[in-house]
Amino acid sequence: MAASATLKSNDPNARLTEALCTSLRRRQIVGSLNVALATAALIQNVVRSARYSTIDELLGLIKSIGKKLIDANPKELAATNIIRRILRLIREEYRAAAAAHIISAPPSAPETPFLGPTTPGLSAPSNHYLSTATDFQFFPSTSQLSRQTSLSNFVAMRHSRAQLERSGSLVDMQLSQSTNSLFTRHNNVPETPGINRIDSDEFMKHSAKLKPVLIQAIEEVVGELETTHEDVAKGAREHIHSSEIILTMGHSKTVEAFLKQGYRDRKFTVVVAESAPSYLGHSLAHSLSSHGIPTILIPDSSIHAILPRVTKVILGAHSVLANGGLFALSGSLACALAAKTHSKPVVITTGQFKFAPAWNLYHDYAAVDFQGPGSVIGTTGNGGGGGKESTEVVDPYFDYIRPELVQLFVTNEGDHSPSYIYRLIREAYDEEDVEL
Amino acid sequence: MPPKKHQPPKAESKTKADNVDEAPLQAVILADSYNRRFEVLCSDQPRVLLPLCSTPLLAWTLESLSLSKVRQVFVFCGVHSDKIRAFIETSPYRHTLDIQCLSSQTAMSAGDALRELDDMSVLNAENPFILVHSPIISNYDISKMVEAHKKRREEDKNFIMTMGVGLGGRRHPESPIMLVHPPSSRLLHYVQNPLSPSQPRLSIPSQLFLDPFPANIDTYEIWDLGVDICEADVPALCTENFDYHDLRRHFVNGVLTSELLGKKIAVHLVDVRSGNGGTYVERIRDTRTFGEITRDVLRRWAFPLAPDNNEPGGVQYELRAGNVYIAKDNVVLSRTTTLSGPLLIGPRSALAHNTRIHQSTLGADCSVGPSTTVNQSYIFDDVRIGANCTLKECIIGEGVIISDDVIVGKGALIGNGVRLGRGTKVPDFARIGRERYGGEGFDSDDEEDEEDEDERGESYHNRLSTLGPDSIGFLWPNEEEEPASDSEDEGEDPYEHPRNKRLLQLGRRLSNISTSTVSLSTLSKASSSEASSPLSVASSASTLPDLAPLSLNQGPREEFYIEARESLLRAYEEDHKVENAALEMRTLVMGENAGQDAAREEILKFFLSKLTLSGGAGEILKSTVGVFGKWGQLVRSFSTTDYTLIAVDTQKFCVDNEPYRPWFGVILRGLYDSDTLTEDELIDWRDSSVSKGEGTKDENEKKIWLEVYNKGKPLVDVLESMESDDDEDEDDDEEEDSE
Repeated sequence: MAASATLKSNDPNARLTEALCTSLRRRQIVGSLNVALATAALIQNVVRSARYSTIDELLGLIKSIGKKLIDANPKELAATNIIRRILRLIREEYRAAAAAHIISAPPSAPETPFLGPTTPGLSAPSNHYLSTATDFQFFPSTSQLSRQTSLSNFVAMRHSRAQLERSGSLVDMQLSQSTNSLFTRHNNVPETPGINRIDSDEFMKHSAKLKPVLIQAIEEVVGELETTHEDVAKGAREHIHSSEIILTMGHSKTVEAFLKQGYRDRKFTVVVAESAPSYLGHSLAHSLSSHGIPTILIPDSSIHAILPRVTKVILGAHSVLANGGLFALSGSLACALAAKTHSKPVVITTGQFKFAPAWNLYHDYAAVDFQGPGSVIGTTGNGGGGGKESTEVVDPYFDYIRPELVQLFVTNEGDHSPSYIYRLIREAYDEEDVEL
Repeated sequence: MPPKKHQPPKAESKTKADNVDEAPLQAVILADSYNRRFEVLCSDQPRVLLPLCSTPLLAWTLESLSLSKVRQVFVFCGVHSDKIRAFIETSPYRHTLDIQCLSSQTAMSAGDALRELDDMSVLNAENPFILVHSPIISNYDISKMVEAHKKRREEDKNFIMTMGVGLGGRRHPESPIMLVHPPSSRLLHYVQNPLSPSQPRLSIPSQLFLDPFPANIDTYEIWDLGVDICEADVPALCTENFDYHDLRRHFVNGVLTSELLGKKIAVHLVDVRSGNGGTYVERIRDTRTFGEITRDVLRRWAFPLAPDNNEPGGVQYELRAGNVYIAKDNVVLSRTTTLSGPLLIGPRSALAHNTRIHQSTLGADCSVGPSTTVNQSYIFDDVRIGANCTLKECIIGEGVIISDDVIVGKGALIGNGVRLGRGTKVPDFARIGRERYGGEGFDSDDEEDEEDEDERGESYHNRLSTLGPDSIGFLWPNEEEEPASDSEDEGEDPYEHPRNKRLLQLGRRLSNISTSTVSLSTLSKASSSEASSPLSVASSASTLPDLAPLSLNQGPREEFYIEARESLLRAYEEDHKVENAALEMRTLVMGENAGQDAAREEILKFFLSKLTLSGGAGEILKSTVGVFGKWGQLVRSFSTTDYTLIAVDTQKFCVDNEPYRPWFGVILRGLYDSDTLTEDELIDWRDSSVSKGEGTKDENEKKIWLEVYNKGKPLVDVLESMESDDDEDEDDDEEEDSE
């Protein structure tokens, strides 16, 4: 965006951004959920306190923060996912407000021939649309808009559209066209001179009203993040049968909540792989067994051997890519491949905020986030690299799991197959935000 | 303060609880090394700005300190302080840290630096500060160390310093031996322990073992991290004691050995078990550690401080398989370039065809000519290397130009701006600087300026044959030959021994030196309840594994018994006065650090052996009274506390020597008659459990004890029954005796 959109160096928001970037770089904030929450908090702060005169300026500002977060830690995709979602929400809210404005005072701006100036966020092409294609209703009705304030509603929308698709309705076409046109319109925004035509005074009048709405929208995102575990766990009953033996590994909070929820209705056994070298499996096993769930802790080396007895593999994810593949704690690939060999279903429990519009990250060698060798060969004895100069240690933190190894994603918004992830992602984020 | 001090709300809320009433954590970085190990590379820049992985060491240090929640940093600079200032002005850390440069031209040692620091009074007197001796690279949260220090100080105000020590680690020529009291982590003793020449013996004052000291000593392979948590007392103490130069050798030893100060130093073990997060703390002390730490960083030991992740210099690197880091900015690699990691190639560097790079770092804007091999070398920015060169375990300074067919031997240090002519062969461990060697005591005739070709002697030709005609630079004398930098004082530093200094160089193999492996002999003959005689302990390496539990009750050395017997024999045969004999014995006891008990036992033993056992009970009684009538007082004068022990010792002697067994009662009677033992003492003896053989090991021995006891018991019974008669007499006697 414009240079004005970048943060001034003395801005407190710049400090906050810098602080989040540093802690991401220094790995002081780790874990998708923590990163997502921290990002949401930061953006909320920016929306609340930053100075912007147009909506595009605000969007640009948020995008520039997103870029910085990517640079800070390209592997924490959750940060940029949240930014994309907030961008989408801001647009939605703004559009809703603008539409409300149109409805409330349609011809209140006599100095303009079209409805444009009273809807400052809309740039020239949209006015153009309205003027040329008068029969086409560019804005969905306000009731539709209000439904779109949170991601859960996007999914609801998707469901309705899926029904429409099935019924082969023509309205569907119109609807999807409208979404597509939204994208195309925004793609054009930067190039059009219309952006300059926005009356900033007019906008400021709205922004005073708009700000609390935007903050509210971000709060909804935060609330949704915070309840992710419970929302995912809600479906546990449908996925776990009685007397199953479930293999998991690492310590995914989502998996933990899922299993605990499932244990209320079903009796089953959990086998936890210890997940060296982080040994997160130990803490999960402890947590589960103290909850009363029969738990067996096994070393990672026994995964393949124990799999014939296992009925289901449930894993957590670090981030889910658009092709349905995912990054998960290292060792997960061993579980998934073993499950494939033994034809056991692999279920991934994850919040939808981990869905990232990225396709080719797994071609990057460093994408699996190599850690230090200390936890593998230890620092005692001849540690610190000493005496082991000739031994190279490779310790990736994540595994990339191909989509064909996964049967099902259980998310906070229903269950989906890997092949459908791209669609969810497309609906959750605006296309123009894919490249921040 | 400008708005720089803004902290993230997240961090604020997190640390609010402990930050409300606390001043920001302060750290002091000693930018000067006060030694000459990097001198050839540091002719025009300070050591802290040497690039490691093409990022200045100071940036690594600041990043490491930022990880430790440090808010305020004082960089104490000596030479080149302007460059350090300039660096800090432009570094991004000035936003997140409050960095102040303190410069001093007069500080010649770390002690001086602390003295000046004390003068400046910039430090918060209430809170401890972190003192960083050398540039560090760390992923450990040093604030944990500060917390531990504060906790320790709450219990005992006398802890003025906490030294960070690490577990494991490589062998380093400067690995001290530390004796630590485990429960309190108190440092008891500090000895420097150079690897070469290795010190086979090490003396630890036995006094240290007498304090409440656990029977088992845990031994770790630990090393000194060079990170200290200091109270304000530390600079103040340095001011008081102006002869403290080296913080370890002078200050630590001074504090530990001074009873007057009563200050204590603790150690903090950086341990994997101490929580999550990294435990890597290393400091760049010399060229050897420079190389080792570079490779560690490339191997991601300091994660998240890895070149591709949190590079303090802000350069972006791409990680490829095998820990190969290639800057994302315009690096040109030939298709035939062989890279074997861990290695790093800085931005805008170009590698020609058939180059082989192995475990090296290349700075920014370097170029390497075709068919050149670079092996375990550290090349700074802007270096041009020609074709067919071989570089092996060396450090090449900034802006060096190396022509074709040059061979640089291992351990060589090439200073900034040097130019090596075609076909030059740089010998191993050579140092070449742009400037003439400036060390005093080194004959400047040895180095001649390359350009003026006139009056040169043999030395010039020597050098010419090394560097070649079209080179620019001066060959410096070998590092181990150079005189100690501080003549009055450094000479006594065992680390500055030429042989040890050699080992500090890059490229030296520690495995070549012949040190017998770690062993510390058991302290089997440590003396018991006596104080302060130095024990000699054989030791030959930096660590103390398998240190057997100290057994402190083994009694005095063999020599004592021999001496004592001879002295007593003289006194007996030459009929010395009792006082003189007592004086002689006492001297011996002091000298040999034996105890009263050992002495009394020995005296008793001696005189009992002088008894004649022939003849009947009457004869024996007579000889006993005869001997102890004179020498009984000597025995008594060595049993200050409990005279009953005389009876016990006598009994023991009789148990040990079979001929005496039947006559124990008679001997006891003799002791009584000669006033060596009083009636009360005999009754005490009778009633005590020891006399009945309690505490002996096996049944058999106990039986003998009991048997002997029964020989003596009737006498005491008889004495008791007539107690009333000579009670008073006995008391008088006893008083006289004990005078």
